[in-house]
Amino acid sequence: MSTTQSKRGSKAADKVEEDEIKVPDLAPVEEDERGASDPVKVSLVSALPGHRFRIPYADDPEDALTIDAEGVYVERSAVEEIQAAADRSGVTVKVEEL
Amino acid sequence: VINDLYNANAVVVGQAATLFGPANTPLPALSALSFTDPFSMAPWTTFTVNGAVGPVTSFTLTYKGQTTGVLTVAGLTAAQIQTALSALSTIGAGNVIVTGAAATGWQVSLTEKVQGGTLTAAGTGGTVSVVSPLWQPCGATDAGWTFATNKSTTDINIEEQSPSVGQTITSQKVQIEGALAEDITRTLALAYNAYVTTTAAATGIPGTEELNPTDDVLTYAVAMIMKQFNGNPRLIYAPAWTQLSNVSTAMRRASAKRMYPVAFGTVCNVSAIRIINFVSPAL
Repeated sequence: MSTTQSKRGSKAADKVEEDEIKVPDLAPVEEDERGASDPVKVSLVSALPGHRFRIPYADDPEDALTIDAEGVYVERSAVEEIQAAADRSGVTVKVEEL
Repeated sequence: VINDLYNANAVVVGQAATLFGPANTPLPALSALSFTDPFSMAPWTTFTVNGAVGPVTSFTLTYKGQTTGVLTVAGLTAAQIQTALSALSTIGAGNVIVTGAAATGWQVSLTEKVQGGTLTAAGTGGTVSVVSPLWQPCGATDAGWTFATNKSTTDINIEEQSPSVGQTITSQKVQIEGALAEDITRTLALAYNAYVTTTAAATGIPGTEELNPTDDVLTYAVAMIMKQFNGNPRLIYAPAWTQLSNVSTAMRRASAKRMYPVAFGTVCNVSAIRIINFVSPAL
């Protein structure tokens, strides 16, 4: 896991670093942070077992948000970008309200 | 091309269609299957809209960027949802069938020509979830599919008596075999027991689909649909199959067709295998 990904894994990361991330931030929302934010759950719908969908971060394309059938929590503001990436890539994602 | 499995003389001339999904994906409700069009994909690709009960007072549905008007839950009928979805430019009249009710969930079936998108819901007062379909057609084959059952048996003998007095089945496996003819990611994943990672395009980097063959045993639900001699549908289904047969495909430039032979074998209790012949239409 890269340094950048580690920082994205926690909203409590250094504020300066957070500000450098382009919006909408695709970073997953950690479990202990869900109460303080407005996350939704996004999961991949696929007939292929173990299928994963990666969306590279705009400011670090080597790193990516990874979505699988189990799902990941993200900020609501990221849903539109995720949906657009899914449409471009020919995959189906499911968005669930918490 | 999928067509009648039998000709007028009850000779097998046509093909069956085979679909797959994650292990234990259930069959569509039999009530949703078309008696007159057995190969209709619509019931296999049905969205289920749940949760429009309790605190939810209204919701909207969105498909391929188009959103319905507000649907008020009180007194809402399946026909009203169907009308709302038919009005979307991304669906259109005649391309959607909605059944069900608020308490049990609504089933939304789209015709093949408008499939490929994700149906989403936004509720007022609570959550409305949409369960997406999981079945996918395996795709075209070179010479159709075969359906076989392989049994290994053991004779039961009584001492000093040469003829066996019975047999036991030590193992039984049902197989569906075919040569996949579409040279696409889905075909390679099935044939080579591979995980797939799809990566969206980013600035300066193209989008990709990467396949990684694995020693993990990937398990699928598989269903085969066909017509009987009388034109009625027949289904063959089991919840758990693997595809671990040897595959040899020429990766070269040649006039010959590029085929991916696969053989799904059941890894479930034989009683979980269902072969359903439709006899008469619903009343």
